[in-house]
Amino acid sequence: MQPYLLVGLGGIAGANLRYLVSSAAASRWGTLFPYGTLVINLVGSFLLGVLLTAVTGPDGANARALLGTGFCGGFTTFSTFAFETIALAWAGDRRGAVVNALGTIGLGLAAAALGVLLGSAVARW
Amino acid sequence: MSTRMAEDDETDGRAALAPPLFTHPHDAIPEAELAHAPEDVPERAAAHWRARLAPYAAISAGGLLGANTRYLAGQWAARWPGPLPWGTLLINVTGSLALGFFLTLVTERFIGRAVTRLFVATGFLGAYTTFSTFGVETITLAQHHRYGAALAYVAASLVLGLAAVVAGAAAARAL
Repeated sequence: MQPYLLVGLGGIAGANLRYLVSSAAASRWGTLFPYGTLVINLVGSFLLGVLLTAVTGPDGANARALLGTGFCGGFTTFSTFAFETIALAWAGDRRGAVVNALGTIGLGLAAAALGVLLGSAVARW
Repeated sequence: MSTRMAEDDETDGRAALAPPLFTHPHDAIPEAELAHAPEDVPERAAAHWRARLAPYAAISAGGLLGANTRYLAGQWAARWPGPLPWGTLLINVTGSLALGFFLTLVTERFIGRAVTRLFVATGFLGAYTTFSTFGVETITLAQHHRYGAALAYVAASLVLGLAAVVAGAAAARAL
């Protein structure tokens, strides 16, 4: 029972925060480009990189369930990213679609790598 | 009041107030309560707060289910052989398919209620799919020098994910 509770709580927090950040980004930066989703996916990938590298072993299972599977997994989204990429292309902004696709992947992987680097430093400390 | 009519004196100034104009019986508020601010009226306050909290309730319900569905699917797929993280790949592709279908359905086919969208799209599918897990898994593959697998994983996730959105949208338009 316990993993589901932790995953669920983290998921609730992540999903709601994603909604708030997306809404704020849309009102601040407009809806011509999905800046909100991009920021969300970058931050979440970085955080998960830190977590999974810094918190290893069986003692960290609860933390990984709550903050990793739950929060980071619930916060970031692949489906919204994919949908918004297609939506950009169908709205006529093919360049925006390519920028979103390659930019999110490139920056997202960089963020994850940075998180892993920071996580291994934390683990050694 | 500069001019006072004889009728006013007769009724002690308690002129009958015209009943408030309302469009629906439920909108009628007893006059005694009109003196209070809207939030002080219990039924109005309750409805007000329900409306304010409904989006978060919908997102939370969807998020709870989506995250746990992802967790379960991940557990199930963990035993599959091969270097690629099949569980996450399957989750992200099916989630993208579902989102393409659902959002096209509620924008081009049927009018969707906002709370339904928040539950299904923002809540469930947003929490079900994950970019962070995909990212860290790719970096982990690279860390283990499995660069071919990492590249294949990225390409498969991107190509299949985008194709899934298109397929889902096409299915909704075919309805």
